[in-house]
Amino acid sequence: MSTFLQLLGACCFGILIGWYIYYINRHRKDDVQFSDLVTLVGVLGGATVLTVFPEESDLFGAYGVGLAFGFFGYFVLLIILVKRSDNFDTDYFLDGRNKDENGKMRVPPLSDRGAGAAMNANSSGGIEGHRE
Amino acid sequence: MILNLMGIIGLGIVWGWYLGTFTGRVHHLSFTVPALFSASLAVSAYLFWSSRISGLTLLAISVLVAMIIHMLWRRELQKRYGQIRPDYPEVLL
Repeated sequence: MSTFLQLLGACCFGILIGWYIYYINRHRKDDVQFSDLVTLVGVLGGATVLTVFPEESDLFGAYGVGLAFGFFGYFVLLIILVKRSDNFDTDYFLDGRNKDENGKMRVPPLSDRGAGAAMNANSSGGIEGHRE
Repeated sequence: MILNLMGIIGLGIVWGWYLGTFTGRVHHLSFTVPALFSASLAVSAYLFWSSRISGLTLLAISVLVAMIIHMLWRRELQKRYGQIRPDYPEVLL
């Protein structure tokens, strides 16, 4: 039987991982990569997770619940931020489109999606600081 | 037991929502679809191994529900704001 503190720890770990999964997926540069999927399957039910949280245990359940909270917590926060911003509208969730300094809609290149890119957008609609 | 089942639902809705993000955004169809299918199979096999048929059923239901909700939401956004990147094939719509 797990203690409350153990369950809380598993849940918080899940929240952290869920948050990070959304973050990684949001900043994906292209179609899904094989490495992304391996990472994702690993955090959902990989050997490391199973070592820490044995299957069919309450700890694993708390981890799964935390995972969903973290993942959708990020999403809800993003909705709130987009709602409050003048430069973003709900269409941001389609392909990251937003307004440039002149109020014109722009769709950032696939390789530059995400908040960092939006914050670094220059007046010509290009992106600074994201050249690799 | 209940917490364990809730955890499986949690995993399922995260995976389902993740799959839904590919709606209308798949560029390399021949790679992406088999890759996502294999990864889904891996997650399902793991759940079947750890929780047998009850876990697998719960996972399947939660994945499907989350994926359908996400796809409907994205379709609604598309109706309202227009096509996602005209150069992309809409393979999953």
